Amino acid sequence: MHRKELLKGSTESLLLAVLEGGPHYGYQLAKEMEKRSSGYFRFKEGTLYPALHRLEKANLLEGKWETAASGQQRRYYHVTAQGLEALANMMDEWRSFSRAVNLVIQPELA
Amino acid sequence: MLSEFELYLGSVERRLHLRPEQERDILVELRDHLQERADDYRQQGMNPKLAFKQAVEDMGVPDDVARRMYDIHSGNSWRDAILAATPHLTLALLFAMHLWTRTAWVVVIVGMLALVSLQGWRRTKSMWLYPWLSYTLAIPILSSLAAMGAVAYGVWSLVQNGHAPLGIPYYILFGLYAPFALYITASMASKVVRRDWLLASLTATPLPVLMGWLLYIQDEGRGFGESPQQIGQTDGSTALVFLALAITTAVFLRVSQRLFRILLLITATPILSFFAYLTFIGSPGLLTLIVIIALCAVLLLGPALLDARASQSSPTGPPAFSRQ
Repeated sequence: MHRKELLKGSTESLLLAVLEGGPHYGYQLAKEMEKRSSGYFRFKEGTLYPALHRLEKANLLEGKWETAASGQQRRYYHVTAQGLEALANMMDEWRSFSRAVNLVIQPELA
Repeated sequence: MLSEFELYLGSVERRLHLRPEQERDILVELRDHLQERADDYRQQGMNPKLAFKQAVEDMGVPDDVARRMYDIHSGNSWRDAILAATPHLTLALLFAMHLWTRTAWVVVIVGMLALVSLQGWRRTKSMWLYPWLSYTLAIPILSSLAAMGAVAYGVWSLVQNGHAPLGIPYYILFGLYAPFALYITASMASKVVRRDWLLASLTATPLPVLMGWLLYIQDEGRGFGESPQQIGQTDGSTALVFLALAITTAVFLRVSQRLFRILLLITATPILSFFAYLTFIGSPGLLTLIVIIALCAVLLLGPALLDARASQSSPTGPPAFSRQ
């Protein structure tokens, strides 16, 4: 339950962070997310694509149909300059937030 | 073996209600994802049938996926919202300036509405087009009703008095025109319902007001050619109704949540129709109120019922889409 709520609030940052490393198509992105988080983040695919399309609508991503090595056409998502800027802001916010949370729940580490 | 996917994607497709090219792109993307997920499950040793089933389950409920995609993709720019409101604003201006009695103005405006609708239908099926289509479709609907009325009156006169007000060839012409015009209208309406029943409801929104106004004009014996000074007691209020229709349409286009759009039409159409009839009739009784509500219910919810029937008659048809 907590994980689901946390993921809901962080979906856009996570997607942008993965795509910062290079263009991915939807399934590849879901797999990469699972791999990087050691299986912690497992997207319900029905929410992955709406999130990607929402980011594209906000001009933070650009989706392009490209032909894969197999000859299959796939929609690859690229981060735009606006997306990189938004990601930098999100990361700053996340660092401040996680630092503050740690200070509250683990005061001995302060 | 792919029927599990086809059923799922068919369910998503029926609920997307987006432009065909948008729907095709979304469905291709989802299908590829399902295929890869199922392949992965099979490589992990899962039984193929179960792999397909699990991939579909992972994707989530088709209604939810389609609704989220609709909410993202069905929003419109301010430019489109203003474009959609333009035909209502034109009618508002026509009444506010009492120009509807000038035949030349009416011909120019009707021509413009028809031209934009036809070009829009051929080139794009964007949401802004449908309010234009309202008035273009109103022409064959109202003229065929008038033609049928003329034929009925001619027959009645012939039976009662032994002669009809017009020559027989005119009645033959009217008799041929009415079913032809209704066929064209029904054919267009069916295409709009197939695209999205809610857009068919949006198209039907001004019809109760137009019908009420035409009945009022007929009842009062007023017509084209009279000077604006002689008439126009109701023109100010009629202009306000069309202005309110323009605002409703612009809001409809700007918001993207489907439920909000449905509620907007269900609320605004009867209120505006009632206000229009209040203007035309003075103090409509309970019967008029019931007729208005029934008319609005048929026009707004009829397309939804037609769409539901069409879905029931082909519930398992595989979606036809490909980018290759």
